[in-house]
Amino acid sequence: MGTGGVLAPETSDERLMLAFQAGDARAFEALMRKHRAPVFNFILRFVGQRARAEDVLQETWLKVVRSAREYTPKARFTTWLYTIARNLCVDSTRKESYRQTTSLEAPVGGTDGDEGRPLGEGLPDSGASPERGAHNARLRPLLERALAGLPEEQREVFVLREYSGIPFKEIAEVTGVSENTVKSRMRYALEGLRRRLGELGVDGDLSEDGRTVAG
Amino acid sequence: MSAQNAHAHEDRLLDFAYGELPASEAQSLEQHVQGCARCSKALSDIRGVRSTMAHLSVEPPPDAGLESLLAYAQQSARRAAAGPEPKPSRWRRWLLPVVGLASVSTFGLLTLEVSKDVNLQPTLTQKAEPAAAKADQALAYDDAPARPAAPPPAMQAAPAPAPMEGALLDRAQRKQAEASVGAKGGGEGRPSDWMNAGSGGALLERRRGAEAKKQMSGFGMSKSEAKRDALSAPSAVMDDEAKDSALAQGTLGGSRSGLGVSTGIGNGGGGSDKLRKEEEGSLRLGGASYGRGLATDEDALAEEVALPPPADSVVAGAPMAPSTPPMPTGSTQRNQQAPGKAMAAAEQMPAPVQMPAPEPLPATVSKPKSAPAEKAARADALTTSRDLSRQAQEAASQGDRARESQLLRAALAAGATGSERLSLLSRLCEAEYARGRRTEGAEVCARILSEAPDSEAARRAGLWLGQGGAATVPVKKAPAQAAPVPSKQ
Repeated sequence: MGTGGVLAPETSDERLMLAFQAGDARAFEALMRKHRAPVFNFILRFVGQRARAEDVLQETWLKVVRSAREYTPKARFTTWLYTIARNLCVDSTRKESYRQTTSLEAPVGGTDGDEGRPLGEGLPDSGASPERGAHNARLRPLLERALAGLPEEQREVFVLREYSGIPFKEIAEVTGVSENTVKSRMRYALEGLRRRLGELGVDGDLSEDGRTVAG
Repeated sequence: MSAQNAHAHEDRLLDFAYGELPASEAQSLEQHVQGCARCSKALSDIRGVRSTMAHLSVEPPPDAGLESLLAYAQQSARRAAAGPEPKPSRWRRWLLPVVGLASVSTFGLLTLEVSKDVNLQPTLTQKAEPAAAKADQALAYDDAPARPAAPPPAMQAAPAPAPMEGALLDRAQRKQAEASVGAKGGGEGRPSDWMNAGSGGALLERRRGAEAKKQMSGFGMSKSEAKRDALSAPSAVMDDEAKDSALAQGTLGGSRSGLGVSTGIGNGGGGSDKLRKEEEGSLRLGGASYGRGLATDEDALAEEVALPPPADSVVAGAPMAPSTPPMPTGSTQRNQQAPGKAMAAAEQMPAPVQMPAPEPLPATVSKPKSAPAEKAARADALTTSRDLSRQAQEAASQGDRARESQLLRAALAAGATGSERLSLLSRLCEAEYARGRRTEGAEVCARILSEAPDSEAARRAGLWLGQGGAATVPVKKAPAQAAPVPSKQ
């Protein structure tokens, strides 16, 4: 599945980053083409809005360029990259939450109101791919909503691990918490998703769709 | 404990579910899961959620901002590549091409200059060498008729290249003129330098135009009077140049400073070629032409003095002639030396620059001062010898051979030279034989033969000797007896 499939570099990211440090712009391009989509999806899942996600994505890579000299091969490139992206996401989310609370009565409670996540509403419907068929077209918003319903710390861990392929240990570095905390959040995230998906009636559909649950 | 163990087991299930568990642990865990319902349930829940959430498609990132981002990265990479020492690298980047370009252009300019010189050198030398040869001849003869022959080649050579090479020649020409003097001066001798300087000067003059004319205007006036002031003009130039009294240097200096001999040409650019030739001839040949001018002056003066000879002066001169032998002989030597002087000098003195100098300059400087006395003395000598010769002719016509021979000896002693001397000797020989004084006649005839063996007088002297049968005449004694000849009787 997604286990480290994103990170299967023939040339290690670290070497590419060092090459970019030495002035090789192609190394940066290779890194960006490899990690741009996962980083964008992480940002998108984090901030919940595509427009903001695009801004944060651009800021993230700009910061990678600006901070290239600060990079040391002690840390993995993805750790460093997602740390930057996450910090920017946190900043963006704070600004947005401040703006929302000051401008209008913040619909923080959301529709579900469990833990008050705006992401369930904000997750884009427009990005759905039509070729997945009517089933997936119907399923996607539910999945988005279920993910958006996760607490931020659980969501980010889940996104980083599930979609970005970042190992738990690295997630711990990115998020600044221990690996056990990461795994704990992951367990909570998985449990929360399973419960929410069940509430949304997705579980049965997926079972029909075929062999979802390990059997 | 159990809770921690349980979480630890769940964490291991997470690692196992996401493939982060090492293979050995994964196998043992898998075996455990198969035998543990709880762990099997937990693992199936994890895989179920993951399987469901995997349907959430990955969103494609926007293309907006990608190019600008890459451009920014490239710029930053260049800065990074420049590293901490951007200035030296820039210096190196620019220094090499700039220095290379400068050196190449310098080399090109030098090559152009050299090629100019190389192209010019043959033209000048080719033109100069024939002219130089002619000048050599002219110098060898060192005589009035030969003189004017030298300037025309230079003049023919000079105007032709002047328009063509006017643009090419400038500083290079000057350098070349100097170089040619310096290089060829030691070997080829004055004529080539002369011609070089003359033609080069002419070229320079033509090219320099107004600038030179300004400088020349002052000299041009004196040059326009060059024929009369031929003595003063070159000397003035030489005084200006001052370094050496050499004529060649005088002309060369003139060509260098634009004030030299050829200034007359530049000055006379608007005038006729004839005038220019004359001026250049008189000026370029400098001291030599001066010598010629002096010689003609002397001749004219001598004729002026000789033609109206007062009869009294003959009487006065006759006794003076024997008593002052050095004067006539000195003048004789001088007159004889005059034609061959330059040739002898040319043979003896290979140094071209200074070669003409010693002769003309002392001439220009010293001759005007001592000229009157010398001319008077020589005029007296000529007058007395011609007068005595005429009196001897009268005596012969009267049949007084003794007086004739006496007068002839007196005339010879008075300093007759050249053909006149031969004529006197011939007449004396005839007179002596006519008087029957064969020994004296043979003596005189022998002197004729020794002095001018190829002349008509010698042929006649040979006839007299043959008729007189004076085989005993000691020819070698003739020079020794030449001195006593006047004293006899």
